[in-house]
Amino acid sequence: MRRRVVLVAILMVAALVLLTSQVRLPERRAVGPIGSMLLAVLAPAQGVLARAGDAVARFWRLYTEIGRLRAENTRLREEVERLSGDVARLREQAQATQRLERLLAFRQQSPGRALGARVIGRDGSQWFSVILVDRGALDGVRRNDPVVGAEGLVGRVLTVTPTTAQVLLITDARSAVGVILQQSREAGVAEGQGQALLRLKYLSRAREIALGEVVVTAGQAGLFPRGLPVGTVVSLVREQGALYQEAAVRPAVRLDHLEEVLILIEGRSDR
Amino acid sequence: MMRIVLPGVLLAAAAVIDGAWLARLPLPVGPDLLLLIVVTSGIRRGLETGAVLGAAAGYLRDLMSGSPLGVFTLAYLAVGVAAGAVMSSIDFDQPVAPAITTAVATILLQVAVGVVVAMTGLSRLQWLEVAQALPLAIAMNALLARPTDAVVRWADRMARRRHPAKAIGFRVPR
Repeated sequence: MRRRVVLVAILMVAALVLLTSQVRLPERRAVGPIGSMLLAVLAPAQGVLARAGDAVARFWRLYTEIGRLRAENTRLREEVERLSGDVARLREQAQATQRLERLLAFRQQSPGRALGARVIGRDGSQWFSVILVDRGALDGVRRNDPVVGAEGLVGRVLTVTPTTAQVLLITDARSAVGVILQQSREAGVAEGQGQALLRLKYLSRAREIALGEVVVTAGQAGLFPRGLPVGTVVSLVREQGALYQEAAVRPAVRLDHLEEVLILIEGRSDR
Repeated sequence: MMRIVLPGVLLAAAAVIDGAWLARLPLPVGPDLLLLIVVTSGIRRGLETGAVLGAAAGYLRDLMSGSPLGVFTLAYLAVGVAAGAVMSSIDFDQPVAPAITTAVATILLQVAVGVVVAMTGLSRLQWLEVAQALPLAIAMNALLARPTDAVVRWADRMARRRHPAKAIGFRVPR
């Protein structure tokens, strides 16, 4: 018992001495050699533990954030899909607007009244070149009405229903358009061949025709207004002994990419 | 030798873990492993061990925390002596005994530190802040009391196994 009391008393006195020595110091703290040694031993271990703890804490934070990140990822994916859809839709609208602007500009130059129509169908075979548009007799469309695109002649109305019309494209083998070469003023007939190019027939051999020359409607048969661009000459054929020379004409309008057209319902020559 | 080294290692480990991990928890106050070791050792081994480990733990706490040396030394010494003094009257193997004992020790430690600070004028007295944080400290210390007791007893067994002749110096848990 006495030993215990002595031990406690010694420890108490030592602690008090330590404390009072600190109180007298200006900084209220002096570690001393033993304390410095202990700190030198323990500080690295504490550093290692702190780094390990930080790593565990980071891992834990990451683990707890996975659920939130997954939900956020799903939300962002949906957002991206929605925005991608919006972008595609807006791009489509922008392109349609550009096409319609060109069509409008062409319409303002065209004689008579023009009716805008949307292409809603196309013949899928290789044999015929016919498109279906969403305007018909109720809109004033009649058979043989000229149909144009922003760049030039597309064809003529072949069949009319009250709400739709079939348009025979100038590339169809049944199509023949009276034309005139814009520079040489040579007249001819542009016939469809069921292919991409038109065949320009009945051109005088005496005329020199340049490649790239623009072909426009002649307006003589009373079907198409005069001066509508039909295409450009891309090659010439002069067969030996033939009475006429012929030319291949690339249509001015990209007929395989038509989406909107104009139907010229007034100023028709046949009325 | 192991009787001295093992408690010392335990205290050093507790001090390092306190500083590196527990003090950095996003809580107003963390558990006090040093206090738990002092209380458990004092109650398991008696007043002398409680006093020595209390003084050592307090000194380590002073060193690691940057406080003026002696503040925590005195406070932990007081707690260690108190734990050793009540050794014979507490059945530490009862289920709630470690939790209750460490809860009381936690309060005692804060009071002791407050008294030392008040007597020396080394810091501003912050009884309100201490009182607000005390329930959480008590809860966490009480929660860790039994695991700490298991660690201390394991260290005792290790010391006895390596030095069977010294086993007589240990109190056999009931």
